[in-house]
Amino acid sequence: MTTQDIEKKVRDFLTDEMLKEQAAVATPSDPLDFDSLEQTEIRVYIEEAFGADVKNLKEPFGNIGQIVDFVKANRLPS
Amino acid sequence: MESHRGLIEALWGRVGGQVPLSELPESFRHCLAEGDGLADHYGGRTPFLFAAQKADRVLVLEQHGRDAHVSEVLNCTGGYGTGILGSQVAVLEPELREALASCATANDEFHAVERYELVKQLRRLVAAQTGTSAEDWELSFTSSGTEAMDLAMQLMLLDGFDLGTGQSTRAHKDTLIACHGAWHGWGMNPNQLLDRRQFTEGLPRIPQAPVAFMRYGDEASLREVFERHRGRIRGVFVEGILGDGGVVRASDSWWKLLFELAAAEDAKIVDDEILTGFRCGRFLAIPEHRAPDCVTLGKALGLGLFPLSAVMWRKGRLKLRPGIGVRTFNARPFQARVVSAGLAMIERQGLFERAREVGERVMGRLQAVVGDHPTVFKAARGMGFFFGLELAGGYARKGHAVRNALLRHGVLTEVESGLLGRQVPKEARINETIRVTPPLGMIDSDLDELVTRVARGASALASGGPAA
Repeated sequence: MTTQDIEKKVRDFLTDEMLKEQAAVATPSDPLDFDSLEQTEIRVYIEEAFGADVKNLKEPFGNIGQIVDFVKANRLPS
Repeated sequence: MESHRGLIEALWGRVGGQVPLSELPESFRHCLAEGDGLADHYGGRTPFLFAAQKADRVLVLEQHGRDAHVSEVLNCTGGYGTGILGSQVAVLEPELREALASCATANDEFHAVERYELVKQLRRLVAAQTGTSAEDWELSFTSSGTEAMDLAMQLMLLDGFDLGTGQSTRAHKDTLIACHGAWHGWGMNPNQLLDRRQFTEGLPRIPQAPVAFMRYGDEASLREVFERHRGRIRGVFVEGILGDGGVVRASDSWWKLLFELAAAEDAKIVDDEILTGFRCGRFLAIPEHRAPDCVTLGKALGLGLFPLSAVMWRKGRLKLRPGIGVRTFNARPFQARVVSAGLAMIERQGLFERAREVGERVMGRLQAVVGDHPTVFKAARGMGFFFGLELAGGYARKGHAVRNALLRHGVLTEVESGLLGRQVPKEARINETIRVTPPLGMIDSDLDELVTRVARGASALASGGPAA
């Protein structure tokens, strides 16, 4: 899966499932104000959708780029 | 504490207007700017300061720059759904005074006629609703709803366990069933029954009592979960109406199927009526003549005056482990006397019947408001005086903003989380839902005003006005 594919899936999740409207137009580095509930949902999503090992997460996510980078670096071998 | 009676009276006279912060005492200014010091306020620090209550109207202040805006709001929460009588609780003042004078701090070191009367009332009410006999039921009192659910869960987990031998006849039945989106309290035991990660993450699960989840009110999901865990289901925990999951009612046929499947499986049913008890036009929200093995009550049971909850179970179906029911506050005679008088008042004034009849009319009007404001609300649901207004897609996760907008238009409501997670398919998801629980005694004109104010708030939200 390419970086673009991951970003598209993350963006779709944020807009369609989490109803985070601004995620549709945000650049990867635009800050998105995720509250603790949203952080939880993102963790669950990247675990389920990409097999990301969230045990390695050190900081809460602040933007789309951070989510994508984390997924790329922490995908478990399938 | 300093009395602010004069100031409060003056503020009632300035509803709808502004007061310069400089005219307010330091304590008021601090609360408006910094909060009152409570670590975890409802949904984050609310921007409103409670000033006083008169009848079922609450005086609140909100800081606007160097001024405080003064508003009067209809209290449609009764304090997290506890104030079931609303301002009519004042009628119990003589009972309160008498109870303070005669049994202020006695507890369950003694049997007490006050508790005897309350136990009798609750047994009679549960028997009438479930089509059983009052003698079939035992009960114990707890303080909070969480504590009641904790005890109910212990009754369930200890079912079949013999203290004499240390063996359990039901050890093979290790699985509990609960509902997606249900709320049963913050305690570690009730927390096992929750499926939303924002409530469960970081807290351990009990490995010996795995919990499987089903969709509330969905017969296919109910059949599937019983089929998948056949032979291992110890018990089912279910709310009379799915509350925090979005004020969702289950059909009579779903309840019928649940009881049939549970009987065939020899699984016990705990009916959590902590939120729904007393307010749905009858004692419990569960359909009449269905007899669960255990019922939990809370919130309204303390009439909004103090925390009081109860666990009721059917003799022969569940059993109390000796000592497990003892509590520091176990319906003290003081509490029992006041609550008993409150329940008698509900029955004497026919408040259940009124909630049924008037509730239907209010629901019709709220549904019309929903129809008029499809960009704000998606649906109105509920029963009796328990209303839920599910938010439309654009506000699906903006419940707190909507609640604040409604507050600014004069009605105090609460926010239910809905069911937005990925544990249910998209089509079964429920947006955040505004919970409206007016007290049973709220007068007709205030109920009319409640609908008017909700409509006004919805209009402001729909037009994106300043108070939205």
